[in-house]
Amino acid sequence: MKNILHILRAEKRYSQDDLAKLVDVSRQTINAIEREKYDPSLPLALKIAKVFQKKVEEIFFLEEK
Amino acid sequence: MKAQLKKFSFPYKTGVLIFSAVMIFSPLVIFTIIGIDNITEINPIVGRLILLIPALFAAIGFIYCTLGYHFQILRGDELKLRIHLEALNIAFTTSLVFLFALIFVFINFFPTQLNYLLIYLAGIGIIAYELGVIFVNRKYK
Repeated sequence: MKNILHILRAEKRYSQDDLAKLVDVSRQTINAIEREKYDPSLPLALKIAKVFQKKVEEIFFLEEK
Repeated sequence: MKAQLKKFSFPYKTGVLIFSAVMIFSPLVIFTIIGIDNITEINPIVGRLILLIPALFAAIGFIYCTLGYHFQILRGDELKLRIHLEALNIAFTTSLVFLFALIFVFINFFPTQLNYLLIYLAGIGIIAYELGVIFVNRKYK
């Protein structure tokens, strides 16, 4: 699954640690999501979407063939 | 009961773990200091108690730590839970493979070793879990 988390984070000038604290996970989790090595659970995706005031599908989307 | 367990924070886990580890080996130290022959000949019941009481404390301690770490992982970070589950999967598969292999080897070549099968498997399971955590951690770095 692709995502634009690092772009949104840069726009808001949040560090990985800041975002991790806002959504109550570890910095390692945010790093793994950004590097597309880990797909977040639905509750976590919803929390991230809420932080950036966007819909989940605007941040996370399937890779186009 | 389950809800209460989920709320309980299981404090002093590391301390309890160290205490349990000390307890499980304490009979060895006590027997070495006093002398195992003295105890078993003079008062065998005391000898039994020296084995039983530390073993009881150690068992309670290890159960406390197991439950504590279980709920800590469940309440904690979701990536850590994922790493834990994947490592458990590796440990379980490894243990199962070794179970069948060891049964075959022990039945045919070392029948007396069958008595210690569970101890071997516990050791293999713990090592496989630790290696699994290292391996899976690399995947998400």
